Amino acid sequence: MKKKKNTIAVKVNNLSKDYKNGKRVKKKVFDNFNAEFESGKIHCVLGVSGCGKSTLLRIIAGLEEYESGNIEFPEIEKKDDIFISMILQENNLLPWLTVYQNIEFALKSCKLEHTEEVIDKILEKHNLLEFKTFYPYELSVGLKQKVALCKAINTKPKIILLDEPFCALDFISKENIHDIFLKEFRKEQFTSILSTHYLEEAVKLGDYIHLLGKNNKYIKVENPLKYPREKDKGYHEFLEHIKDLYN
Amino acid sequence: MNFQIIVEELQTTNLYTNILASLKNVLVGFSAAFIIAIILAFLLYEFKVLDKIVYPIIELLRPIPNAGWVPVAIIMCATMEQSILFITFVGAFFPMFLNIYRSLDNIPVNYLSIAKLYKLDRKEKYIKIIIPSILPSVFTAMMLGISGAWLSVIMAEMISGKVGLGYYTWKNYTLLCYEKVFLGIVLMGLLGACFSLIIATISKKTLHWVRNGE
Repeated sequence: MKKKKNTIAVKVNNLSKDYKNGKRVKKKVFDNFNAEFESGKIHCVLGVSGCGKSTLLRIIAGLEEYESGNIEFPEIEKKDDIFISMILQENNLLPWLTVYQNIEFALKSCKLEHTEEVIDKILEKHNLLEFKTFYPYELSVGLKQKVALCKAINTKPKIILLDEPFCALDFISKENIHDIFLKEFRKEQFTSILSTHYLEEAVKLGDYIHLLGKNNKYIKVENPLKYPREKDKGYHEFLEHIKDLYN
Repeated sequence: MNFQIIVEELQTTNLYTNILASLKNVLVGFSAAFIIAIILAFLLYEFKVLDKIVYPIIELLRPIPNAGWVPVAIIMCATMEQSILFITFVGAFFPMFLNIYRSLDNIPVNYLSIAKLYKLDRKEKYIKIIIPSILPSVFTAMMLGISGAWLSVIMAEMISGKVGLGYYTWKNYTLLCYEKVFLGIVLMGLLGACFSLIIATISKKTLHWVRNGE
């Protein structure tokens, strides 16, 4: 595994974000919120539904406006390049494109080589070659997310944002996709920020766990366990510790 | 009913002249309505200020029944043919516009996020994301539009036409020739169904990426 210094990949400074109904503020999601995400690590943003996990990821991705504050990417020199990949809960693949065309679209958009040979190799590596000509509606939910992950990883992002991408999967598909994600992560060491509301998933995958609670409560915890974490003796102990912190 | 009259009528050119006149009217009215509906829907989607001004006007005009437009058409248009085309246009325009307009508003936010994440420029965003994502609704709009156009053209021809299937049916009704009236009605149904079938077939071939092709 490559060694990396603990530099910061994403810095959230004094972020304030409101949910509005017209001009009326319905809910303050973030109020002067600050967070740092070290590069080359897996960060799990953990919290109950509606606490702002997805909003935070969408703001980092530049998909959502916010009232004040700023998002810094200290390691990125050319801000115009595509350096963020994002996997969403659903609709990651364009339904009018085949699996092959979806990957071609992503590579082409990121100005990467997108010959048939290159795409076939990518598909083969992820055991997706047999689905090359399939449209998204012909794939299971698990396969769709696998293609989305394959698409996101192969665009060589510096930062990969995963917005609860595994929550709709059955436990076998989830295990498989976790393995693929960890394998690719160990190889490429891109900074990953994953939002989840499953404690086990956060403890299993995350190097850092960012707990988002109600009323702007925020705690960042470093995971002391080594991979494979769920097999570590301290796994359940750490789960309980995180639970206590959250409560 | 004397079917001999129907058989004889099917061998005359008069019937086909009327059918062709209706087909021409419906195709011209429908095409004009489709082009304007799609351009206007995109303009309102792109320019929110225009949307705020124009959309309420359209909503005000939309509930007016097609028959209500007949006097307006007669006053506004120089010839009867033009007034029939205008009525056909109105019948096709509103359902098509509303469908396309709504579909633009309902593009899944994740598709637009993909456009933003990959930093697509406006042209790419339209070609690669927006147009494909509204295509199923455009075909639905076309189905509604062609039905609206067909109903309107028949009604307009019945009221003020000098030629066309609506005129043919109404004229034969006044002449108490019920066999020809029956023939006219059957043809109206058949041709209307043919239009829908043509659009459904094109839709199925184009939207092979949608489950069931619907």
